[in-house]
Amino acid sequence: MITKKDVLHVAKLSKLEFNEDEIDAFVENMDSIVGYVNTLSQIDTSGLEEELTAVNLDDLRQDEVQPSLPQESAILNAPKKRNGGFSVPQVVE
Amino acid sequence: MDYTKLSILELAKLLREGKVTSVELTKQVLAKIKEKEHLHALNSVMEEYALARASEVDQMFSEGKELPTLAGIPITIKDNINIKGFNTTCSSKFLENFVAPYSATIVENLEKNYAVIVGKNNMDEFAMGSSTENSAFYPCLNPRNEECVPGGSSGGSAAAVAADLGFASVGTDTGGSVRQPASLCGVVGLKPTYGLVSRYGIVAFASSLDQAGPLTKTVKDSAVMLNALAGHDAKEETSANVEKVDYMDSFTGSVKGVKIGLIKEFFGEGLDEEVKNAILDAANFYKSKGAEIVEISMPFVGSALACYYILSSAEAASNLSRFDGVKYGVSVDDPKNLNDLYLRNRSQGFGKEVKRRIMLGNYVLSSGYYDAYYKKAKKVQRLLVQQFADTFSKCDVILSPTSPTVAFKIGEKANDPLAMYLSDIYTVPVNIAELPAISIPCGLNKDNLPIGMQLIGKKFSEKTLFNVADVFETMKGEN
Amino acid sequence: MKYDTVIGLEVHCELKTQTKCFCGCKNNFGDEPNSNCCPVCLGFPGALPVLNKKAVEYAVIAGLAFNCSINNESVFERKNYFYPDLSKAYQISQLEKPLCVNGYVEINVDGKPKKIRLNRIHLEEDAGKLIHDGIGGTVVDYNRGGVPLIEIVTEPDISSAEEAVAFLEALKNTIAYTGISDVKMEEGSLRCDVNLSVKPSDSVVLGTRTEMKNLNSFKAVYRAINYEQKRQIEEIEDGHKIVQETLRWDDNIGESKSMRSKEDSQDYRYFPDPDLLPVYISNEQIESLKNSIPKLPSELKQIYLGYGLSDYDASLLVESKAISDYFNEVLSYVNEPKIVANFIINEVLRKLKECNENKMKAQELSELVTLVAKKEISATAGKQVFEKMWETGKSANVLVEELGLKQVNNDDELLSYVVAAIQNNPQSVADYKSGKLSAIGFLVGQVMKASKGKANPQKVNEMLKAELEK
Repeated sequence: MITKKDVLHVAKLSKLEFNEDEIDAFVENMDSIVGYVNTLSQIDTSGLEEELTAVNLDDLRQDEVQPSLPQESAILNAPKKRNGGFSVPQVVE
Repeated sequence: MDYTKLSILELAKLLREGKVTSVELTKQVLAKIKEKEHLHALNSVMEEYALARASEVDQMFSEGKELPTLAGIPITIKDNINIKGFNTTCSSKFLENFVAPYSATIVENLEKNYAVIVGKNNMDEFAMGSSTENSAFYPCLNPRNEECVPGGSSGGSAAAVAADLGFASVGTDTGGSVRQPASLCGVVGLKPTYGLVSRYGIVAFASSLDQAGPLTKTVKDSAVMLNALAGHDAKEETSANVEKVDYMDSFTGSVKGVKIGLIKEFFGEGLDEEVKNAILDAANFYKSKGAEIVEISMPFVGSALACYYILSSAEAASNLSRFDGVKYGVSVDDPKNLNDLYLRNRSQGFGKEVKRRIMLGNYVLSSGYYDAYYKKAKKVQRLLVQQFADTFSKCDVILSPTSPTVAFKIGEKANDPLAMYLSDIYTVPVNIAELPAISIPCGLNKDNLPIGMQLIGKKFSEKTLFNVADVFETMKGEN
Repeated sequence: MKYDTVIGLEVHCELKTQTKCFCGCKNNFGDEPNSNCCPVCLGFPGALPVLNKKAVEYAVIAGLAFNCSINNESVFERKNYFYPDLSKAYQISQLEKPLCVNGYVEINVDGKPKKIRLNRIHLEEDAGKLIHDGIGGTVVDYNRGGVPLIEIVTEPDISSAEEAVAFLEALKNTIAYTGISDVKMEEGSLRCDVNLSVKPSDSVVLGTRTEMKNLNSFKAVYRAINYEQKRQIEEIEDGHKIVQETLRWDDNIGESKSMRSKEDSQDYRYFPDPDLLPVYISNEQIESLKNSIPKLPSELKQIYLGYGLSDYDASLLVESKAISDYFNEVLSYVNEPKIVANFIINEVLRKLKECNENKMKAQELSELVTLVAKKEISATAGKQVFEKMWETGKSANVLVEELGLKQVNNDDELLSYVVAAIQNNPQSVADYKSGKLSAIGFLVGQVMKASKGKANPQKVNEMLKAELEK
């Protein structure tokens, strides 16, 4: 069962905010979807090891410098920029 | 003459014979795009860029240069694929004004093949959806029946090809997003083996499932496109390092001795009767051409959809976290503080379905639920991979419907996400098992809406799929 | 009541690779903001990470240097949280299968060795830098974003500020020897978080721990630990409970302040990064990385003890790689470990405290050492020549000539000094003859003085004995 509390917690993790109606709709929507995906719990997967395709150390990227973007391109799409950087509200540490 | 209804192979010949120029083709396509604007198959048109490219190609043709088959052919691409200097919107308000500072590897591949990209296709926002109704800009209409959806998420791509707005398109397929709209619009859609086509520069939905693939008018055109798109990319760790093959070598014109599997579980509840009959007809056709039909049971194949919604949403929640309005995208003017900036940017920038997937994804990843959902889904995925391996020990390709129904009415499923998700029931297992599959038209229903059939193969068996699909496409009419 | 302090450290160390961990951008400190950035490290839509081989190798080397087991297969995971210095809103890190597990670092506590166990060493990417410009905003620079880091996590084996600093010094020194990092705390390439709890000595139950961040020097670590253990003991004695929280150390005022409590602690939603494959490292590859590691301080110290150096001297020489490299280089020219060690410890290290640059090339010092070893000049004269060499840059041989310091070995000349000393110091002669043999030392001193230090003291000693016995 998905509760309102669950929805609010997940919304906080997701950095999303909703009005009351939306939250109620989410409780209902997510409950039916989660109920559906929960059918997996009935499948016996014991003894199944996750098989991983690994990459050998030797096939990883060589440590060679590639060109970076020019600073103008890096910040081109930034909604707010200052002094060659991305501007955000004051971060209190 | 109207060239827009021809195939790539036909045009390639005319271009080389000097009977038509790339600029002429491009102009005709651009005119058609304007004429069919109400379909909303495209988010943006790159007229100047396309005409410049086309005239370059014409110049090379006139100098007698030998060029790849795709040279001079106007095509479109889905609006989640970056082209340097042009907008990539993903049909989201969040990226409405985003200008890509770099090109996707597949765009570079298309440019190396001198394809002429004329525009970018409408889609479900961030590729999440099965109807293109989730576009933040406007829903896309199905050219076969404008009251119906074209499918999704690559609905704009399928509609564009079906309406002759470009001779091919490149879509992306995470759970059926190329094949299902291809089926609903009556065109050919290929989802290649995971890793065959580079993902670099394509806005990620679910990284372990996403795969770009072509939508075309014919199977052979699909092979032409895959020749251009496929190839190992050092910019992607999950890119498959396989030898480059020529997919135009696929075609033998025969299916004699090919074992075609029908999955028992794919013909149960929820499958439209007319669709079912069309698939069984196709099976009979193959039998008449010397193929062997085998019936196989895959007891867990139905669990693929639940597995898919867990894995794809988890990855999407994480992949879409970068959209915070700091580096690009929308940003509110007067944030109270950092948290307020994040909350408002994301809440205003994303549409309903995207929010729903992010919420579901963060739910299944959150502390206390991770093992029960994400880890469990990973294990079920293993089970499905094994089951497909068993199945392919008994057959060479699987024949199935692409979608349980033909195109549905706009708005029909908009308020029932689970019903919408169920329309991916036949396509999703393919992504979960990293397999290739192709959807081709196999008839019309009583309302003249196209029905699509899907052929699924082993990993890297695209050539087999092309051949089996081509035999149906070219010889079905003879019966 | 008596209390025990239980401390665990998390040390972050930036690796000195050419490029970042997951893209080909330059790994460099101090450049223009956002000038070493690309779609990957800026978290642009569609960009994908590709792991740097060197970063993995360096992390494995760190593991081997600290006696860890290396996992043949390790996995990269996403740690999800929103913060402006994190361009993708997740950090690529390792949780379930890190590269290295179960090592230890040996430190000295009151002259006795103590092993501080390591839980793990894993590889991850650094975050960008937030620049607070003081006019009401923060600007983000992603140049540092994506730089490879190793995180070294200890078991809670540390019981005091002294031990913590000894651990960090040993750690820093060994890493410097491996060459995988600059380990500069002032540039942020070495950073440290402290987890600390206290418990009554007679209790076996661990207390509630706090985590302290923003410790930018060894001195800050030392002060912060002492502050925090005192604070926790006082809280307990006042009957209060310790709150599990994250604290930020303010070194200017010498206090820590709460950043966040456990209630609003993050849920990082770790899961394997689907853009990256697990990395496989074979035992042969591990072995060959092991062989590539230069000799570490602990090994070098054993070698130096074998040269006959004292424990103290050997320890001093391995306190810095620059010094032990220098020592080894001088030895490659002249095989006189004790004399070389004396020069380095008494002269070079003293000079280096005044100025940071070693002005004396190994070969130049070896010439001076040769002169002393061959007794062509005395040890006293050697010191004088060293000073002049450092000042003027002239060679030892030239200076010995210029200063006329060549040791007098001429028997006739020496004999005249010896006879004069005996004649001028009858009391010492009488003492010697009455059995006070040490009186000869005074007479040797007189000869050295008369010869302006140039006489060979050993020879003078022999000649004095011979004359006095006559």
